[in-house]
Amino acid sequence: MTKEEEFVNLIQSNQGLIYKITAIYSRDREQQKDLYQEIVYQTWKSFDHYKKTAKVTTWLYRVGMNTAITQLNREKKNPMRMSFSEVTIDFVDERESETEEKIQQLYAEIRKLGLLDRGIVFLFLEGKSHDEIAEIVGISTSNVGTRISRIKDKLRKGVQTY
Amino acid sequence: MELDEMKILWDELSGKVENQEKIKKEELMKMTQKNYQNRLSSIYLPEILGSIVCFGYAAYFIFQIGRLELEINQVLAVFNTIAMIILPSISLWTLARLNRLKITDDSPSLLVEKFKKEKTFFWKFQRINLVLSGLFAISILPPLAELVGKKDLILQPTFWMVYVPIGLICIYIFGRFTIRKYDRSLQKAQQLIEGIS
Repeated sequence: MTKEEEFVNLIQSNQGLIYKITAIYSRDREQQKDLYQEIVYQTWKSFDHYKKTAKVTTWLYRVGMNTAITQLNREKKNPMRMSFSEVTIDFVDERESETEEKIQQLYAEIRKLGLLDRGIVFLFLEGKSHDEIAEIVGISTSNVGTRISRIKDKLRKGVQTY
Repeated sequence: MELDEMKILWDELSGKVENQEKIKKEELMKMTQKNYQNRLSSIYLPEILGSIVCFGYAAYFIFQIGRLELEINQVLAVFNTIAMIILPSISLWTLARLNRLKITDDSPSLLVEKFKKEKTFFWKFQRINLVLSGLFAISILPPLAELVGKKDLILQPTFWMVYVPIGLICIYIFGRFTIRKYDRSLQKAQQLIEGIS
């Protein structure tokens, strides 16, 4: 299998994961598409290195989250957006879903959190253990526990931190 | 919303996104390639163009060095040729080191640490580069003058009173401008990376 085929397989098998990261870090569909492209690009750019890491999904979570946070910070400093109009991405249409309203509310709740907390809650919702979250985010396991309980409090109180 | 309630919704969402249509290989590679080319050209193009000019001048000196009669000009031509090959090469290498830093490979805290290390290295080289540029700007004039038929240029007081000070002032102004520009870019890059942690 060529490098290109391996890369395509990797993205195709994990496009749901990338989609969810883009959903919690974007304010609208256009920004989500841009972020999706950026994550794919960053994955390709560092594709040669992933085999050296323990687990491909751990690496991919990190690629996605770091790219999303970096992109968001970059846009805050320079609001001009880079777009590739000739490329189209078909995202799942949540408007057709019965649970659309609830999912939008879920995104809205997550987007109220700070950038790192968003990533932590995302990994928690993905079913990752505290150890795995610590490894992906690069903080200690005890810090993950502390942050998650603070996040729970914030979500309960509906506090806007971002 | 409680976290447990979120978890149930999230699992529902996960099932839904897993079933969406797979992105086509052609589309995927097209958008990756497009993005890759844009980045590469914006980072490397000015450096590559500058390096080509330097290598061109170095080649010119290599072929013309036999025409130089004054020993001092031969020495200066050798110095300049070496500078015009080594400086852009190191510059490209330094840039490659900065560019090699991938935001995807490490944890955020390690990334900041690595960036600071690369930044220090980059600054050290730029300072050396600035001093060498000053020397280069002056030392290139005598051999060039001989090659265009004005070999007694360095004997004229105007060379030392006018050309040399003007050259040094230009290098100082350009160097300050470049250093400020680099500093701003590196500060922005660092803020960007620090925003991750």
